[in-house]
Amino acid sequence: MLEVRDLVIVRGDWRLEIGLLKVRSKTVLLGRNGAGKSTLLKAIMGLIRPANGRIIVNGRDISDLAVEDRPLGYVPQRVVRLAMSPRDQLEYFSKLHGTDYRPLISKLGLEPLVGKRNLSLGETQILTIATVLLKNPEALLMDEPCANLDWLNKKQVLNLIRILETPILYVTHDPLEALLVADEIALLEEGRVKGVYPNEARERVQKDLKFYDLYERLKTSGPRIGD
Amino acid sequence: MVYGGAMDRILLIAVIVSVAYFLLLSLPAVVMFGAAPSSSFFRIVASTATYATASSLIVLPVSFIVGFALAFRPSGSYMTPLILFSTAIPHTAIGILLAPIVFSLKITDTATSIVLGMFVVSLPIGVGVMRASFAAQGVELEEFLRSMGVRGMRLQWFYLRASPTSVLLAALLSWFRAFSELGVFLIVAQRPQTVGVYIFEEFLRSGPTAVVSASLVLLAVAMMLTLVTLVLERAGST
Repeated sequence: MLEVRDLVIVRGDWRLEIGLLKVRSKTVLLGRNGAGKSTLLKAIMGLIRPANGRIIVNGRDISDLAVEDRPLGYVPQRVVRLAMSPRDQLEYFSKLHGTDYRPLISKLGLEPLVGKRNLSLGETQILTIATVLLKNPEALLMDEPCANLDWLNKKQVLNLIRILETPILYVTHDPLEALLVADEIALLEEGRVKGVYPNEARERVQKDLKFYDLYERLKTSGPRIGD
Repeated sequence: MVYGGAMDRILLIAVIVSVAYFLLLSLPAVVMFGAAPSSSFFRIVASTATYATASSLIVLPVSFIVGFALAFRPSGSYMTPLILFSTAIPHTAIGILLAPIVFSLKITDTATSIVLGMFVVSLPIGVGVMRASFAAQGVELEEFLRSMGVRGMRLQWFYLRASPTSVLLAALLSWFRAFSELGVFLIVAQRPQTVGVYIFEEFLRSGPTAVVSASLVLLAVAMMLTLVTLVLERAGST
């Protein structure tokens, strides 16, 4: 479990204060642009220094650890492309963390990705998530990982995220994305978490989405205009 | 990004523009003064190119490290204008500022002072190109890599792999800047003769006729490097 306690970040007049935020499974931090979602993730990862606060992972206080030593995985908003093939990327980070990428790739069903040369944005983001998992992180921080993806790519990434077992703090401004990913939704407004709510609508949204998924529906629909 | 035929057309236009530019600048000089070649000139070109290469080999790693810091460290944005404006300082003034070092090390009129002068004038260009390249790749790459446990020089190695075109561009530009230097050498290193000093001295001694061919060679080198840069950019965009 990831816990954020008494975290305070100050940027001029702007202030972010998190009294207590617990991430047990998949917690979506929902908030508008500029609410401080990405700033919070970066502070948890250690990429920016908060004025105050503790970060606790599975009972261990990691607040004083360097970014490189924190047992967390971080997926940034902008899709990260490394100048290496997917296989080389996975091999490099496997070696760095003393793990083997093959069982993970097999478990996630990503074998076709490994041999590919030109990945789509969605595939690159999936590769990034797989790469992050090679670190065996105790919690994952995802900063709008679907922000730059089209619907079909987004669906692929969201489906992958749903099957992950690691606790995830997932940041988004998109309520639909929140409903599809979350077990719990924390609403961030004016620099504070206004409340954490269980996501009771996920299965219903997932079901309804089949109806609203135009890509699928139009492909399988009957006559078209002009037929 | 521009692909295939469109890029080839742009490349063709670039070649035509480069040749036209070359002719536009060179024809009046040839018509007025003739193009008398000099026997010692190509030897001087070769030695200047060697000094410029030595200078670029030092400039590149320094540009890489400084460019990285300027792109991603909080104070970097404050330092960037300083680096850029330093390219605009008159080079005779840089020569004057370098003079105490050169005189006290007793390296006046030596290859060492030439390489030192070249290093000082071409470093801002190398740093500027590398900084822009790193900034274009974004801080997210660094944040991701650090979160993955990558630290120190390994971080920069990833950026280096991601931007071979920019490294080559920085090398070419800093090399040509070093190759073309005159102002600094007038103060601290008139010998061994470099191309800039040669043209300056020959002009003073014999007038423009003696240095038309030398100037045309420099212009041709500039055109060639322009084309190489375009080809590199094409390689980087496809």
